[in-house]
Amino acid sequence: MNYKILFLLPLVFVLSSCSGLKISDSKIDIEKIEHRVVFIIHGDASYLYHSNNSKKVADIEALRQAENVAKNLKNSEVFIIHQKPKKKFLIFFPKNNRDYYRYVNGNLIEKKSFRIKKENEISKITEFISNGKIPESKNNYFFYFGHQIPEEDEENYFASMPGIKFGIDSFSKILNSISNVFNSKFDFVVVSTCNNGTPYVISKLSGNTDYILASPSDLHLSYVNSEYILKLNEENLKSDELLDFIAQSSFNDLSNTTQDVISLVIYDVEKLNPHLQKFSSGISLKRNKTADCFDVDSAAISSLKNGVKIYYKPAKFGKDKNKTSHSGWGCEKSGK
Amino acid sequence: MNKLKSIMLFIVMFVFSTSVFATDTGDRVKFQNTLKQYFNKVNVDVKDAQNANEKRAIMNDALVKLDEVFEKAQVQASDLEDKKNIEIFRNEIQEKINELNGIEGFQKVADRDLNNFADYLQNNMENADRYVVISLTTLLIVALLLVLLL
Repeated sequence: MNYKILFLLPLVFVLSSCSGLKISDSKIDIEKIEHRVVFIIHGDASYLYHSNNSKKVADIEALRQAENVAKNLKNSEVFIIHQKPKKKFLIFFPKNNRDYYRYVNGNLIEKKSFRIKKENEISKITEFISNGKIPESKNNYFFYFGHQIPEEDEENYFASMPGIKFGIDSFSKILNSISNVFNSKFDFVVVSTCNNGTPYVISKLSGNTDYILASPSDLHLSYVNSEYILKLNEENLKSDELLDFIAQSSFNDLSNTTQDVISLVIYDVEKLNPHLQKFSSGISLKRNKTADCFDVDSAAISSLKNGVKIYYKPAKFGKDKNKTSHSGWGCEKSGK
Repeated sequence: MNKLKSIMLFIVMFVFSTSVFATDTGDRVKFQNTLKQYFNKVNVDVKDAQNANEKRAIMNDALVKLDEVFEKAQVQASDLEDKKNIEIFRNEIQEKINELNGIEGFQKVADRDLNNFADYLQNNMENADRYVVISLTTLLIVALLLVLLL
């Protein structure tokens, strides 16, 4: 045997830009698919947090919960996309930085790893989902976990790939693209990030979903817990009831573990739609300068009262500790 | 001999590639993680402290030190936007110092609430990627000062 071949193995490993594992389609029972769930989990930034003095990484926790959902949600097809930091092998060679998983009826059917370059994220996601998806499903749900999505596409969202621009426009294109593949809009979209519960964001996402769960203020990295979707195994809930259960349960969890502000809001797109149009062209919030719209310009959001369900608890400390209610809408803080 | 050399070369390449260069997640992330760990250490120290005075002093020192770091970075930053954003962050630190000590119109954090206040500081730091608005150049200045001061 020529052992010099060992020398080539690392290069072969590095130079492959896509690796995959197609397990089997034999376990798929198309008749039984009722729910389709898509998870996109951003992990290319600082996601460290502490819980009971143990270190946790939010995207890894979100991935663990998503995999638990995928393995245990009956009659489902689940897609998980994990956006990892770019890493290099032998200084020069980029490793794969995206993991895609597809589960059907609790079984891992396919796992692929890709190396995403500058602008091909949407096409890769769409291609992966359209290649695998089951033709029909009664319900479609979408979860996004990450930091605040900027209202204008901007650089630096991906810490290890700062040249990639990302914002609500790109995000809504991803939603739109997946909706087209499914030939149906989502029953609900969960945007588990800080500060994305704004009139502009909700108006931009409203074309692709019936309900949106988002936070108009900071949201601790322990996030919305997607595992509450497993309630579907016990009860046949309608999508608004299910989303309410997820919101309320996650709110209760966060209330028990964090001292900072907690706000989770369900936006009913059908009720809000007639009033959202005027917010679709104006950016309402820049990063890290969030405030309750009611405190900034209450008249501007007077038409947006009907169609929001608010779970809110003020921070135990700080200037707003006595603020007992929230409009459910985030706006840019006035002044400095 | 050739066989041994090939195996050795493979092992060296493998170790080199997986240990040294596999953790490149960016200076920004490392810096943010450093700050989060700093406040976690403060939290642990506060919980371990024997009395309210000690708890309050630990948090006050930690916040004052952090403010000093950002004050120096603010002076050295060449980007005006960075200076403005550091100012906003320093105001947030100052508000926490004021609340901890009950000055500038803030109600003093009660002795029995000091452990919760330490959790609040930590939660607040972990909530968002608050420092992304600072340019990498300024961020490196802050990181260097942080290492020197802490």
